[in-house]
Amino acid sequence: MALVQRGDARAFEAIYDRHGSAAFSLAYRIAGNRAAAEDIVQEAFLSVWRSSARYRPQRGNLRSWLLSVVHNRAIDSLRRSVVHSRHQVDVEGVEERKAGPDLTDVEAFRRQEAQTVRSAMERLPSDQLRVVELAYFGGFTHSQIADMLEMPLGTVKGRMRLALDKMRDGLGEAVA
Amino acid sequence: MNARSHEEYQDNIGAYVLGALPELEAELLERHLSGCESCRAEVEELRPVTAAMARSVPQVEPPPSLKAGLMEIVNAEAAARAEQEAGPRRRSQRRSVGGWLSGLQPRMAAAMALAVLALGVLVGVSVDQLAGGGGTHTRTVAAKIDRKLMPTGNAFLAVKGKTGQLELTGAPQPPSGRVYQLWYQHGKTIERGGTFRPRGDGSYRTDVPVSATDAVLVTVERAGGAPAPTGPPVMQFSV
Repeated sequence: MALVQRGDARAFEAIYDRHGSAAFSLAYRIAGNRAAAEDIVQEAFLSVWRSSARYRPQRGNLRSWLLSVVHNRAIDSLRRSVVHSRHQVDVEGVEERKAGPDLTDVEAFRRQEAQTVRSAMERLPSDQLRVVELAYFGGFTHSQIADMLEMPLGTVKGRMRLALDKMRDGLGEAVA
Repeated sequence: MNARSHEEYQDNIGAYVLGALPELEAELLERHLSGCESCRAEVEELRPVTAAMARSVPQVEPPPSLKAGLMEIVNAEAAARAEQEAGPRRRSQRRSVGGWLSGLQPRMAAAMALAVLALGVLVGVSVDQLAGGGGTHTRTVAAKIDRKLMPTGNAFLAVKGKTGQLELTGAPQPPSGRVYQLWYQHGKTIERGGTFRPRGDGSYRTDVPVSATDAVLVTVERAGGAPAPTGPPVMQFSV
């Protein structure tokens, strides 16, 4: 990343090669279509290229930081969209995409980690899982979720927090 | 808003970490976080959970064209940066400062008088065409930034056909009661644009019209905006 901060395009390319797929997957999960996901990832990586000095290694690994940038872009994109109110209200039944047959050790580890996180999410009570998914993957604000689910805002906030606390406790070392 | 209690901020932490706070509330919480160690610690405890959620989604391969398009822009910008570092005095400016100032309507020229002095000490990035040859390619224009007025941050204008997207990163907030305002210069006239304040992290992004625009300018104005610029541009893009 230090090379990227000095304007090294090859270093930037290496970062894209390593993390572009995860970034695209997250953008696709949130945006729901490939064209929007491509726009989001391009915007996110250009933002990283142009403001890479903002990355602070002590605040987390590069992959997590990059994905947070992608997430922010994706949510911004959703909120700009006029069809957002009709988008992804039903968070059930997200299509699982199959992996390629050959996995490196790193990919296998990531696949295992992803499965661990999904299992932790599935263990959440359905009312907590729903608000978390609507917020994080659906891009809805807490007040939109409260309206949508016809529940007090305080209840939505409470369920979000409970869910995050449970996942943190459940995942333990896996997310440390 | 300022009377919000610590507990109210604390109640918002879950939503904040999930990205579910409206922008204004997120900014308020971020200000609170800068001075509240316990809330900051809670955010740091929960962030790994959302980071793990981000990594947990089913994997989908991006198309090769995504990387190709991205690297086309990045390579062009890297080349432009290298050129700037190698020969700042050689770089060409597509329009001289005097050129666009003299083209303004008289009232605008008066309003922009200070700009002449300010632009004389520009230390920002020069304006260069960085990539693409028109058509559907994206051409990226770096801002000339007056570092006395905006000491940090960068700004780029991505021009694709008749549309442009202005992107600001790492910019300071304008003083209390003030906002940034956009202006579009075309020929001898200058048209009033919208006002904005960057997000808490100094970023801001907006679409701007470029089809009949020679230059995009940004000034600092009082909240609500001004009918004409009242001070020098903090940044400008030659389109």
